[in-house]
Amino acid sequence: MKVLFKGTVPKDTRFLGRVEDVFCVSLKRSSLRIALSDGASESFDSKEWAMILTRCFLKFPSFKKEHLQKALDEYKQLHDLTNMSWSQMAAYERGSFATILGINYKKQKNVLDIFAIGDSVAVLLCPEEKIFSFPYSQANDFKKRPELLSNDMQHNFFFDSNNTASRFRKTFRNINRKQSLLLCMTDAIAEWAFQSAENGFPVWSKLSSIREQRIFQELVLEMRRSGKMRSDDTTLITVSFSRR
Amino acid sequence: MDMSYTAEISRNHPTAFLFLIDQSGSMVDSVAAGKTKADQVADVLNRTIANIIVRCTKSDGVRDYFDLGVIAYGGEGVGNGFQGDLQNQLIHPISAVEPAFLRIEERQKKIDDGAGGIFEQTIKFPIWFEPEASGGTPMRAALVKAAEVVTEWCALHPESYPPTILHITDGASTDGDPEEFAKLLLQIRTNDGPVLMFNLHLSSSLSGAIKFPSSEFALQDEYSRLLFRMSSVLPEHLVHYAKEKGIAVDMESKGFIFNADFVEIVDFFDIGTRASQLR
Repeated sequence: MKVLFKGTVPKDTRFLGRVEDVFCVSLKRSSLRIALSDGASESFDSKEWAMILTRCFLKFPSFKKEHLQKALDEYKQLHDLTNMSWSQMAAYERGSFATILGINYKKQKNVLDIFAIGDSVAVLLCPEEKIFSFPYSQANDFKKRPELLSNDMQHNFFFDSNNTASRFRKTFRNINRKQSLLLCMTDAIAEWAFQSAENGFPVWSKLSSIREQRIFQELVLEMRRSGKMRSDDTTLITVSFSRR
Repeated sequence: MDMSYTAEISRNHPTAFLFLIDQSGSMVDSVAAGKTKADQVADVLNRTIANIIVRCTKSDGVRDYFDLGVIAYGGEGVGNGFQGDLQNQLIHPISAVEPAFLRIEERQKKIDDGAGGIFEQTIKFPIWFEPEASGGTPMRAALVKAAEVVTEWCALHPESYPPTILHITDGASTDGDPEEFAKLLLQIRTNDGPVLMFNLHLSSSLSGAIKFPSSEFALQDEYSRLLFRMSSVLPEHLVHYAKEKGIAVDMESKGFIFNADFVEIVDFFDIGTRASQLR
C-alpha cells in the first residue's frame, strides 16, 4: 500500500491558515487508515471539530455513537464560554459541523471498509474502467445540503446504532491490488469529477496521475477560473493498494 | 440562459444588505399583542442583523461576507438608521456592526430538549435600534437615497452578488408615488445582476400573513399591491432556498411579505456549506 498523493488547495489562498479540510493517514505494514473531514463554512469552529473527528476515526474505525460522544466531549473542553462575545456565544450554540470520510483497509483480508457522513467521497478505480464510489455517485448528489456531524448530539439524530452500518458504511472485498486505486476527495473536486464523467470527459486518469502539490493546485485554480469547479477548500488523497 | 445571481458570496466579493426603515408617525399603530408597528420594525431589524452576524461568526472572529447599512425615514427626513460608532457612513462591513450595538438585553428562548420537552434558555439579544415613530413618510426620498448608496456600492464591487434592499413600511408614502423610483432602483446592477428589493408590509389589518405571492390579486389593500409591484421577482436560487424552508413559492413569486417575519430571508444567501440540519 502506498499513499501516492495527498494535498489541499485552500478556498482562498490569502487565508492559508483558515483551511477547514483536515486529513490524517495511518499507514502500517498490515493496514491503512485514512480520515478526511471537511468543516462546514457556516460553523463556529469547524476546523477543530474536523480535526477531532479525524483523530476519532483513526482511533475507533468502527465509529459508533459512544465514539462520537468522546469527540463531543473533547470539543467541549476546547472552548471557554465565559469569555465569548454575544455573537461567538450564539454561533457556538448554533454548532460546528463537518463531514467524515473514513477508510479502513486490512491487507491480509483484502477488505476495504469505507465510512462516510456528508459529502466527502471515496472513489475506487478498478481494472476495466470499473468505478465504484461512496457515499455519492453522481454530480447531482452535491446539489442538496449534506447531513453533517455536529458537536451537538441533538443535530446527530440521523446517526444511531440501528442504521449506522447500512447507511454510512460500504465494504469492498477482494480488490485487485495491482490495478486499483482509491481517491478520497472533498466535495468541490468530487462534484467536478462526477460532472466531467457525466459530460463524457472523465478525469479519473488525470486525478490519479497527480503526484505534486504544484500540479494539483494548478489544476484546481484553472478549473475554478473557468467556473467548472466551485471555490472551496479542495482535498485529494490518492492511494495505491500495491507498492508502486 | 440567465446567468444572473451566480456570483459566489465571499470575503473577496461580499454582497450587501441595505435596510430601508419607515419610522413615520403611523408606525405607532398597534399590530399585535400590544406591540406597535415601530416595535415590530425594531424587533425584526435587530433579529435580522443578529442572524446575519451569527451566520458569519467563527471562533476566530466575524467574517465579512456581507456589508450592511440602514436608511431610516420619517419625521426627521432620510438618514442613517444606525447610531453611535456607525453614524459616520451608511454602509459597514458586518464585523464593524457586531460590536456597535446600543445595549444587550437578556431574553428567554424556548429550546427543544430533544426528548419531546421544551425548556427556556436565557440568550443575549443585542439592540442596535430602538422603536421610533414621528412625522411623515418620505418614501420617495428614501428610495432616492438608497439608489445613491447602491450605485456607489455596485461601482466599488462590480463582480459581487448585487445588493439586496430590505424595505419595512406600512406603505403610505407622503412625498408622492414611490413606484417609479423603485423601478429605477431595480435597474442598478453589478455584473452579476440587478439589485434585489424585498418589501415587508406591516399592517394593522387582521388578515393573515402572506409570503412571496406571485400575483397582487390576493392582496387586500392598495399599499400592499403597490409594494408588491415594487418588489423583485425571486431569482431561481432564492426560490430553491425558500422551498427548502418549506415556503410555498413558484418562479413568479415576488419578494413581498405581508405581516410576517423577515428574518429567514437572510438564510437564502449562501456563504458556503451549511448542514442540512440548519434549515
